[in-house]
This record gives sequence, structure tokens and C-alpha cells, in this order.
Amino acid sequence: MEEKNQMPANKVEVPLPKSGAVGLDIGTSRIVAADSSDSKLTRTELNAFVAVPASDMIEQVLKQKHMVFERNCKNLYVYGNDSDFFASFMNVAARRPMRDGLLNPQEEQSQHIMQLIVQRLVPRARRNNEVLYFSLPGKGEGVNGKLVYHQAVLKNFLSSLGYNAKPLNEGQAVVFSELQDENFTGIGVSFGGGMCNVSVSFMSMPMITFSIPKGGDYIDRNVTEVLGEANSTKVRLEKEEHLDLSRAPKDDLSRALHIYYEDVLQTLIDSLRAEFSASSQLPKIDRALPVVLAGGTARPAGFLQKFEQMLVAGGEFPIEISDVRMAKDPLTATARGCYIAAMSEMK
Amino acid sequence: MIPRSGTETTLHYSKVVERYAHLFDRPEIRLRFLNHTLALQTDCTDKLNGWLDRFPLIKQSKLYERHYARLLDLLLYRLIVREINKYLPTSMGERLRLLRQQKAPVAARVYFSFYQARYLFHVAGLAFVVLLICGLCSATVWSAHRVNNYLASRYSKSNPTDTHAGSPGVVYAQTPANYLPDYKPEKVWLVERKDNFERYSNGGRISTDYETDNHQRAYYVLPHTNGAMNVQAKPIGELHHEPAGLLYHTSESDLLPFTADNNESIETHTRGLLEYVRRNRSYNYVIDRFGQIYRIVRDEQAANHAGHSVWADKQGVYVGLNESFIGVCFETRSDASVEQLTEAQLVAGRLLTQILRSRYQIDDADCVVHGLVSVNPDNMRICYHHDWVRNFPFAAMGLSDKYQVAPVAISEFGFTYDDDIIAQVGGAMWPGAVAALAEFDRRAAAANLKTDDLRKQMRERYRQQMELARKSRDTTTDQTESSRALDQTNTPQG
Repeated sequence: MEEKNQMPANKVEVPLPKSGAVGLDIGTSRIVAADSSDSKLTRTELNAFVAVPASDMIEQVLKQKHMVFERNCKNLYVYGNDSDFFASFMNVAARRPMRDGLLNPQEEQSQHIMQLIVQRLVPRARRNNEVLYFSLPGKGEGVNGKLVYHQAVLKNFLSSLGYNAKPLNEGQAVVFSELQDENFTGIGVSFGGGMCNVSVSFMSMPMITFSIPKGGDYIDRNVTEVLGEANSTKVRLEKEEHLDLSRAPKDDLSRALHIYYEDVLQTLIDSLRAEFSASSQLPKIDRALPVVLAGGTARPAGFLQKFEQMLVAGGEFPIEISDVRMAKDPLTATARGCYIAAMSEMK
Repeated sequence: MIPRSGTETTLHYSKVVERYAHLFDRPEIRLRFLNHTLALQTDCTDKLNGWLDRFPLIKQSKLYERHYARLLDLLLYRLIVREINKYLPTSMGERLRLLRQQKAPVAARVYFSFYQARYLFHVAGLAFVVLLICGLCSATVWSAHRVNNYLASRYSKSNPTDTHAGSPGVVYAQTPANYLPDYKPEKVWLVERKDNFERYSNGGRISTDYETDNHQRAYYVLPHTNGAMNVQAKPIGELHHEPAGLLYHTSESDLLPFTADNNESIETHTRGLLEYVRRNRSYNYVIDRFGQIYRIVRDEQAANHAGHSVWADKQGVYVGLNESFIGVCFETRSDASVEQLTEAQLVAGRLLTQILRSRYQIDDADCVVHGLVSVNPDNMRICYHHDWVRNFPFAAMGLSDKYQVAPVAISEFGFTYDDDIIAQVGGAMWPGAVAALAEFDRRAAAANLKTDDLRKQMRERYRQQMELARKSRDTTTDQTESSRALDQTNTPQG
């Protein structure tokens, strides 16, 4: 028996998209919706939830705090942006409906919670065949089989909202949002929570796409483990608020973060080299390609310099790189890219 | 040009499309333009390849190697222009401003301008096609006229308005028919031949009940004298056996009033005439008063119808027209006061003229009446016979008016006429005769001779030519028979 939170105060009125096109970045840590190419007009929800045993007292507190939750017969589920605060309040770790970029098979409620979060961001389509592009990880190590399921579940759900739902590679979405002046030719990299996605695009056509199963969560988890922390909250806060990769680490935590960041970047650069060497589909591109970095994991200060240093340090790259740049708004770049793709298909 | 590989093709197309993508500021429109254009080009390429797969011969040809890539490029540019047109502002000025602002390639601007003006080009193209069709029609009509004129000149021996090169001022045929001005002798052929008649495609019916034989035609075409005695009287070319002209006669036989109650009498008279003509081999054809055409002497044989006679066309001079001209006799009289020919005779005469002209390619200039060609060499007078010396309906026969033509007998050989002859022909000579007499005087003056002196010389000349004509006959026929026939026709019989 399921009982939905009916409190009007908790209801956030979701603005209807003006154009009928929606871009949705379904990331491991956040879900971002864009119905405009303006990054200020995007909407974001944490892709997380906290479950507590249902009680009238807690429910009353949640209502007073205007928190978004759902109650079923056993538990109360606080989800979305409120989950972070509530997790701190309850001194528990927020749970993730997704892991490593895909639906989390260890979470029974993953699909349901994700649907609730998405519904807070995306209204039902007003007309038939309004186009919605949602981000999808690229193929990679240990991903391929699960990717099919992940894509099908999301597509079915979004279609049930009345959209003509289509997947778009995360890296390609970054290309669409950031490389317009280059006619969508370049390399887009999305550093997400669960994984990193790369797309090498030529004139809007993805030539190479792949993913590596390392991202922000990988860094948090491993740093927490190696430092013997009880949970990853401290690590995450340090990473998001104080970490500067352009400076030498000053303590164990920042050193560990440096190490794992470098590991992630090195893995990605090596994979990129390997993909370029192995690919036979690339046309003979007669120009240098730009690289655009986006995603929450790319937010720490000095990330861009670190990436450039490691790219140069690895020796000659298979293709000429014109420049490496950070997306204008790394957190919303993927969603905006999906929106542009959706808009391009609107009549 | 060697077809590009798949990757090269993609790169090539992408580069082309990329140049035009800069026109669009908004990312979704730029993306749509790139994707659509390239996707459509891929579709086009697939369709073209599919079509070519069905025609392997084309694919193996050099034409394919040379032009395949170019064709695809053209298709691409077509798609680009079409796609650009979808996404650019509707205002022409805004479009051009955008093109300038975006520093679009010159080729893009040119293509775009052409695309903008496509309706103008359509109209211009349509107008061009219409003009082309009109031009082709005009050219066809003009060519047909030219061909027609050529064929007419090819199969017609003279131009009605042509003058003889050696005899300036001598006109062989001058006045066109007053009616049926565009009449041209049509192609006529034999439709049916029975024991006693022949039927022709123009409706003409020739009875052969009275057909008989005479000697074969044989004549020379003699050169024009130009009034000069030093011209050798050598014939032009070979001995001829084909008819060269038509000579119309009157039978000068008794005529009964042309009424229904005289039917039997009229036919009895006609039978008498036909028997007479057959016995004397007087004509090749007789047309009775009911319009029935009878062949008497076969076409390839000479009939004794012309006697001393002379006529000329631009080919040369014919002396003694029995040999060279077909004699056609109408059952009528020259002095008939009311009508000389019945309606049926007019129709039959026209049909027979068509048949004979078509069969022997006889020129209009050589269709003449006996009175205009008949001469008396003894006194150097014309009109020894004067049948049809007036009132012959040339136009009704589809012929030009020979009364306007200067007879060669007067203009070249110096034959002349006197008051008796003028009285006989009705009080006035026909215009051609008057002109011919003036022409002969002009020649005498040019030769510093008196007219009579020149006339004497030309009389001798005529005799020489007559002798030559006689000899030509003798090569193929019995001279005695020919002389007898000649003597017979010199009797005052038409």
C-alpha cells in the first residue's frame, strides 16, 4: 500500500518547457533537466534518497520542514535535493538509485525513486511526440550488458510521460553544448559521479564513444577506504569545497584525493589513446580538435591544468589537440547538450 | 574522377556542409542543418547507388567514373540550398544581411542568390522553351518551304517568272493564273487498268477503246539562237523519246446543241470524230463533250497533231512538236460564240493535264495551245493553225497564261504576222506575240541589221533546224511515213 505525500507545500510546480523539447542528464549523483540552452534556467535534483522507518513523528517533522518524501507502509523515503540535508540530519549516508553510471541493482527502490525525482524535474508532455533526449553512458568495461537494461528502463519511463524519448551519449551531449563554434567537432568528456564518458565527434557525428568505470564515487569510495573514514561525507565535502589540484597536497586527505584524481585522469587519457589507435572509423581530420571537460567531478580547482599536464606528459597524442577547455557550466553541460539535440529535432 | 571511399566521402561532404553551417547562430538549428543535410545526402547517395546497381553497364562505363562524384556534389549543393532556405529568415533583406554578417563563402552567396531567384529562372526557362518551340516550328515551316521550293524547282523544268539567260527580255511565262494561284501539279498515279480504260488517283478516267499505234517519238532539243547565225544548230544532248510538253487543240468538228435530247446525236458525232482521229493518228488524246477522255495514239508515240510548229522553254527549242509534245484535242470549235468547252470538258482537261504532267514531269512552260506554236515556214508567218489562239482556259487547267509568253517563233526565228492573221485571231494579237515582235526588232538593231535581213537569215536557220528535226525522226521511223503525216497536218485541220 503506497501513500504519496499530498502536502501542497511539498509540491514544486514544475515549469512547462516552452519549446516542447527537454534535455535530461541522468547522472549517478545528480539529475539535471534543461528546457533552455541557458544554464541558469536548468533544474537539478540530487539523485539520492534516504529511507527511514515510517513514523508519524518523523513524517510530521518532514512536513514542517517542507521536505519532499514518500511514504509506503514500512518506510519514509526522502529523495532529491532534500536527501542530502536529511542524511546529515539523520547521520546516515544517502543512498543512490544509480551506481557507476547505471541503475543500482542493489537498490530495490532504485527505479521508483528515480522516477519520483525525474517527475519533479520533467512535467508530462503537453503534446504527442515532444522530444526528450536523456544522457546515456558510453560502452565500456563491465557496462555493455547492463547498459541495454538501463537504457530500456529509462526510455520506457520517459515515454510513459508522453515524450518521444531518445538516448544521447553523455560525451556527445557535452560536444553539443560546448562546441557549436567548431560545428560540433571535437572531444567531449563528462566526468560524472559513476563514470567518465568520452565522445570524439566530427561534424556532430560521434566517431568514438566509450566510458571508463571510474568517477567521483570511485574517488570518494577509495579515499574513504584508504583513510579509514566512517563514511564518504567528509571526503566529498573536502573534494567539493577545498580541493585544489594545481597545488601540492597539504595533508593525507588531499594527497589521497590527488592520487585518485590522477588515477582517473590517467585511465581516461590512456583509454583515449588506445581508442584512437584502435579505431579505423576516424576520417582523416585536417584540423586540431578541442577538448571540453564537464561534469561534477571536474569542478575542483586546477582540474583543467591537471588534465593538460597529464595529456602532455603522456607524449605525442594520436591526433592534434587545439586546446583543452572547461565547459561554461560543467554541471549543466550534458543536460544542455541533450536539450540542443532535442530542439534540433523539433518541427 | 575516381570515386571517393566512404570515409573520404563523409569528410568531403562534411567540409562542404560545414562552410554553410556558420550561417546559423542557434546551436540547435546548426545541429539540425548539419544532421539533416548529411543524412539526406546519405539517402541520396544510397538511392543513386541502388539505381546504379540495377544498371551495371552504367557503373562500368567511363561516364560513371568521370561524373559520379560530381553528380553527388551537385545533389549535395541542392540539399544545402534547400536546407538553408528552410532555416533562414523569410525576409530577403535579412537573409542577405545574415549572409554578409556571417562572412559566408562567395560560392554560398552565389548559390543562395540563384536559389532565391529560382522562380525567375523558372519563368525565364519556360519562356525560353516556348521560344525554342516557336523557333523550331518556324524553322520547320521555313525548311518545309525551302524543301518544297527545291523539289518544285528540281522536278519542274522552269520557273514561271524565269527569263532565258541567253535571251534577255524574252519571257516564257509571265502571267500567273487568275485563280487557283497556289495550284501545284499533284502526284497522280494509275489506280486501275482494265481492258478498255485506265483510272487514275485524281479521278481521271481514260478510255482506251480507240487506242492505236504510231511511230516512236524521237526529237532533239535545239539550242536557242539568240538571233545569231554563228550559233551551230547542234542539238543539246541525246535524242529524246519522252514527251516534253502538252499541246491543246480544237477538233473543229461539227457540234450539235449541247442538250439532253441530242445525246445520241452528240455521241454519234463523237464516234465519227474518234474514228477519224484514230485512222489519221491525229492526236494522242481526245476529250469529248461529255468529258470522256480517249487515248488514241499512245503517249510514247508521236501523233500527227502539230505540223510545222516551234516552241521553246529554258532548256531549248522544240521544232516540229509532233515528236516532242502530246496532242490533246477538245471536241469543240474555235469559232463557238457562246462557250468553247463544256463544264465536263474543263474538268476532264484539268484531270488529263494533271495525269500527263505528273507522269512525264512536264513543266507548266511547256503546256501550250496549237495556235501559239503553229508556223508557216513558206511565208514566215505564224498562226498557220489558229486553234486556241485565244480563250483557252489555262487557269482552269492549272496552267499559267501562255498568251503572255513571247513565242520563240517570232522572237528568235523572225516569224511574223499580217493583217489577215490579225483578223483571223479576232482583231488583235495576244500580248506575247506583240512583245516577241518588239524583241526581234531589238535583236536586229543590236546586230546592226535590218529586221527583214535578219528575218531572212533566221528563216534559213529555221529550215536548218527543221531539217535536223526531220533527220532525228528518220533515225527511228520511216521517213516516208513521217513526211506523210507532216503533210497531212499541214492541211487546214485543227
